[in-house]
Amino acid sequence: MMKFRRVLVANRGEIAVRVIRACKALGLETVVTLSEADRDTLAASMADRTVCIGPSRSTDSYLDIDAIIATALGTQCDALHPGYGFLSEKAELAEACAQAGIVFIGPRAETIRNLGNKIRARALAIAAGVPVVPGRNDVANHDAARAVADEIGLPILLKAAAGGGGRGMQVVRNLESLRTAFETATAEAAAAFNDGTLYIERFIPNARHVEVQVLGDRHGNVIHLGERDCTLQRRHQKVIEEGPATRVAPDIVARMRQAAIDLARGVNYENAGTVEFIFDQDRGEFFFLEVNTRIQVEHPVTEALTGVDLVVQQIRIAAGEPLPMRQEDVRIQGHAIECRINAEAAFENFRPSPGTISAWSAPHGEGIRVDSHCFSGYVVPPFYDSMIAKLIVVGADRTDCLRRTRTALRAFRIDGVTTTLDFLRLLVDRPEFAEGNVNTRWIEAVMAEPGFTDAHAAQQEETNDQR
Amino acid sequence: MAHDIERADLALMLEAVQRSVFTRFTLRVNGTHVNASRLRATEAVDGTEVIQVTAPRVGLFHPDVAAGTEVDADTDIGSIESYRKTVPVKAGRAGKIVSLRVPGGSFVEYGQPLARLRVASAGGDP
Repeated sequence: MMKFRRVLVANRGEIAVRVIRACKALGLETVVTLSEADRDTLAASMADRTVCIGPSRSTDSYLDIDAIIATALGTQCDALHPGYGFLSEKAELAEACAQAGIVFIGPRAETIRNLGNKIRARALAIAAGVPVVPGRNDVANHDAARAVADEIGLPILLKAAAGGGGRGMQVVRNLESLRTAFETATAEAAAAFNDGTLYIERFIPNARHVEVQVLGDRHGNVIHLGERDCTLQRRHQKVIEEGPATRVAPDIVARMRQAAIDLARGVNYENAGTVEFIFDQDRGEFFFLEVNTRIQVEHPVTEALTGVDLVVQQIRIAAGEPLPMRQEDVRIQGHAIECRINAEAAFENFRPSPGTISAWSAPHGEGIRVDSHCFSGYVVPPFYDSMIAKLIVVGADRTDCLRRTRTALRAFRIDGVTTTLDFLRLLVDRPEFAEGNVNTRWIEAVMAEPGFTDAHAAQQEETNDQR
Repeated sequence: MAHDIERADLALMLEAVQRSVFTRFTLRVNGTHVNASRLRATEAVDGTEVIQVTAPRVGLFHPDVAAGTEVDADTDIGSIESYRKTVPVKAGRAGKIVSLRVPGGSFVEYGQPLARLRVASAGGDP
């Protein structure tokens, strides 16, 4: 018997729809928060109740903690699901929920805070015996920089210890250029942060991004549900995700999964989480990147492979239930690929393309899942993330899955707004993708090719011929 | 190109107009022309104008006025308690409260009508 009766879905778009579905499956009532721009959404029509919490601008609605807690209290919700993005990884929201007597469907505020801080997360990973990218954060002079370079090996990345972002970042590939790079980076760090101290870490030019899905409950049980390979990214935004990680040696995958469990266990992790790793394809080594303390966009990949409904599990865990399976009960079968479809003009530097969807025809059939909040006639508002759908395709193995993905992408038709469908079709047709011969910078390399836009024109003609 | 108007900015401007006292909005930027008129939240009763005072935030409405109370544009007709944040509800126009739309202590959405206000005619009593 469920401890909750009514859940506040504090998000929008496809994840609001996804969470409402999970609540319905559990027999829970739902209230969904809306901004002024989202009054006529699919989530609004599915929820038992909607509450407009503020204007379209997300700082005045989806990011307003007081408005959200007031709504949960005013509608007598027992629990709150934050979705992803917006406030999902803000410890302040989890804390405010606890103070207001509302169950936050996610990890404890303390866990979110500790893992959300890069330095503390790194320390927690080290404490759990999880490998981190070799580096030092206290490099104050050239001799020290030289010593670090000798210790961790080239190439290395130099950046300000005091600040984040790309400011003052220098890549050093040979020792001859170390002094110049050191002086430049120190000067830039001193100018920007009043502190010339540098952080130096190994630079990994040929990397894959692999992440392990974990679930932990209040009773000390922690399991993993396999991994997802999210190497295909553009500006740190994932584009295509898949699982399992077929291009990483099985013994390394096994160690990654164990590392994720060790880290989660080390912090008494409760609810769903993802431990992200960077895999150095040249050296065959992996390192901890960060933990995402929320449900992720790409969670359906794991659901397709394991048959576990992760959002339902999140709710059950938050209600205090123990995990319904042990590690040995988890079966990972087949191969799954997820493509993120955005309302963006990919061939015009990914310019956002909001507007009215005049026609919407999603592929369907065995092994195909489309998670979306869109429909024919829906107006994509200009205020939020531009993702309009996720296409998840499962196959017996990677080759089968890739073939089905190509077919499904071709069958997907969205008119009225410009989408990234053609761009995705182009990527999945590339031999490097089929071979798995890619890294985290591959998409940018494809885009830099002289024939990039011509290839698009050719593909459009082909698509037109087929119609 | 640098001075073209973004859709998001335009939408925000139109929202601001909708919340303002203005009824018409015209914008010309390079080749873009926008003409908009505000959705009317008013009713004509005996030739006078009655407007809705709406909730500036989501939360619990605590009224400080009753039917018949005379107000200025900047009179607080009540407040919205939105968890740890409380904000005043301004009358917006001078006039007389006709009725409250929701009982005190009600949970209200952003933009929900809270009171009907008969606007004072220019220079005279309402």
